[in-house]
Amino acid sequence: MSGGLIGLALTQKAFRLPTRQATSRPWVAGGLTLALVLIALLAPLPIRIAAPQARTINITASQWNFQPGTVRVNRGDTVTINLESVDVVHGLFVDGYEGKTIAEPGRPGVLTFVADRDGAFHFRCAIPCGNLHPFMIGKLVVGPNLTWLRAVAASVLATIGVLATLWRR
Amino acid sequence: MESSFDSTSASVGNGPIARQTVMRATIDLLPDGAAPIVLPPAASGRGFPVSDVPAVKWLLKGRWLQWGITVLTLAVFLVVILTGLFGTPAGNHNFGIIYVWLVWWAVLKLFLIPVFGRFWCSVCPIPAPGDWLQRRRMIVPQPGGKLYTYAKTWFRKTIRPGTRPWPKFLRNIWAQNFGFLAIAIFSALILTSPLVTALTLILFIVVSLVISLLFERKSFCRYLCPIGGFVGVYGQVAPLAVRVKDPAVCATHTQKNCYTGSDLGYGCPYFNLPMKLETNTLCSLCGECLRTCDRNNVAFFVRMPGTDLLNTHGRRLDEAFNGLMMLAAAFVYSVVLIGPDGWLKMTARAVGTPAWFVYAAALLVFCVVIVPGLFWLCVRLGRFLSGEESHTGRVLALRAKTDSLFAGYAAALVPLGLAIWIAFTLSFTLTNISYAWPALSDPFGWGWNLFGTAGMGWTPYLSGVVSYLQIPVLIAGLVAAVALTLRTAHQHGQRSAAALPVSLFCVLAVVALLTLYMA
Repeated sequence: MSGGLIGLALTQKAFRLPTRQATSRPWVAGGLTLALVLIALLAPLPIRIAAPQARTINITASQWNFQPGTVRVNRGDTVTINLESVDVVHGLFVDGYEGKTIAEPGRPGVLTFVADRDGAFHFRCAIPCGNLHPFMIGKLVVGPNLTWLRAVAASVLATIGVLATLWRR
Repeated sequence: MESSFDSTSASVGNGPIARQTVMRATIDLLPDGAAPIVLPPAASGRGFPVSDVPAVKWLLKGRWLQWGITVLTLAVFLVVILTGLFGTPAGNHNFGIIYVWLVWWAVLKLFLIPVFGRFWCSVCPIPAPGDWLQRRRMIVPQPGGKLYTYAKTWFRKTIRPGTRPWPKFLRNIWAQNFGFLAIAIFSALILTSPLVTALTLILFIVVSLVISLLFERKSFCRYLCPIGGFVGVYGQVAPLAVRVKDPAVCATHTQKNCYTGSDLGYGCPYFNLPMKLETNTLCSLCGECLRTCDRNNVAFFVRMPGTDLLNTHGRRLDEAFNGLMMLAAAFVYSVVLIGPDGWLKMTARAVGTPAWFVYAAALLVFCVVIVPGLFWLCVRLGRFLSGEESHTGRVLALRAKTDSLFAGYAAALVPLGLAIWIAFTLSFTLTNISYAWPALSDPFGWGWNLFGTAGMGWTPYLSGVVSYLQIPVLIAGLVAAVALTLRTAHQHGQRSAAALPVSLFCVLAVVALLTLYMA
């Protein structure tokens, strides 16, 4: 957010037009753009969410791979992850939810949590398992993925706004 | 050392003063009512001369600070090599891997480049031994800033001080670009193997040492170092810069101590003539020119971030390619290292296998052909949308045949590329930085506990907020990039519509990265 503000401010400063063209248009367009970007990022949206369900997801861990690599659930779902390891000891830590479980070959791990935040969250191996361990990563997508939608909308609006602000006929 | 100066031997950087003179001349040719030309920043204010503050000046003119930091980084560098060679092969327990590819990389991308530009290059340990051998001094400079190299003897050339025997065809950053790509195809192995990291750094230091013995100044840093290339290009975003206070003073000063050196210091290690500096690309902020200038006409300026990018004329293709290549590489790394596909990571690390050759070829084609090709198409489409060039545009086009529109537009990718690299770095730094504590106490993984932190476990910091940090960074980079595309169009006499394809390229790049990370 603050980055966007700084970016717009720098743009206004850097592209100050010569006196003849120094009208209020750039500031109005820039302010409007900023307002729209903020709305896109922050405004509450009336989106209907599917009724919460209990979901059980089986994930197989091997060096250096989670299978499936991407898991999709809905906000409000109670998610139970059964982690099975097929080679060495692996862990599974979900970013943002701070939950963790560990699995050894033949001894699966279980992690249960309520997916109460929408967005995409990486899950990663929590036990050092080899050279590529820091990059043993999967993705949990909690729908509706408003974080991504808002970011995309804000990016497009910011682009249109900058073009409108600095456009010359 | 001779005190005479041959201006033709000095670097012109990427924006000589002569160009400004020509620009001013072309303004006179413009008809009434034509769009005004925005002069490069050198014509306007340079910002606040922070080195004129007495305490700061004392610190920067002295050699101890820079020397002290360099010795410190060299000590860490030696530990990195030793732990790489003799320590545990488990990367997340090895000091070398953690402190090079996690700590140093994060500090470089998140802090040093955005704030201090290329400052890292002035305290980098890799060229330090070669520098000291070349200077035959460690701290106090040689009289006249004299350097000792074998180029004169070996190449049987009469070389005046300050000139370069470095091959002309290599006086650019193409070698740095391809050097980076060469490392990129091995990156999954280098990033995760302490031994390979150590061998890579040893290779760097040996090459740097040999180059220093043969060629004057920091030829390795300026022309060969794969890191220096992109650090310089992205350093244009930084608010800190070394510039002359008044070019007129330099114009009447025939000694040019800043380039030839003096008893107070060495000539610019990067072959720059400070009066011609318009960007940070080739300046490491080492402060030699501040020390040698006897007119007190050089200063460290604090100015608006990105000021270097406001002039899109006279941009170089090698630097444009660096911006495109780095952008493409950030995508490859995001997909391979941060993505959920384990087979891709294993393929990238299985160096020498048939699958790896396919991966390496795909990486090279993506970075060298596809992304630059798409960008070139956008620039061409922009020319089409712009329609017939305005009178201003024709006048400007006559000004310099080598003034590449492609390279001008590529300058817009500098803030965007840096934002994308910051977003990429954020994606793994906060979650993995806690490996730094045990590695500090047990650098070799031998069971030591030097500082009592060996038992600290892996703890991801702020793992839930990474996305919320990445989004504003990417939007800020996008806003700056789109603004620069419009500026490029206007400065090159095109209509605003010409900026649309490149703007679309930029927004698609951001949306693609957001999708990779957040969808």
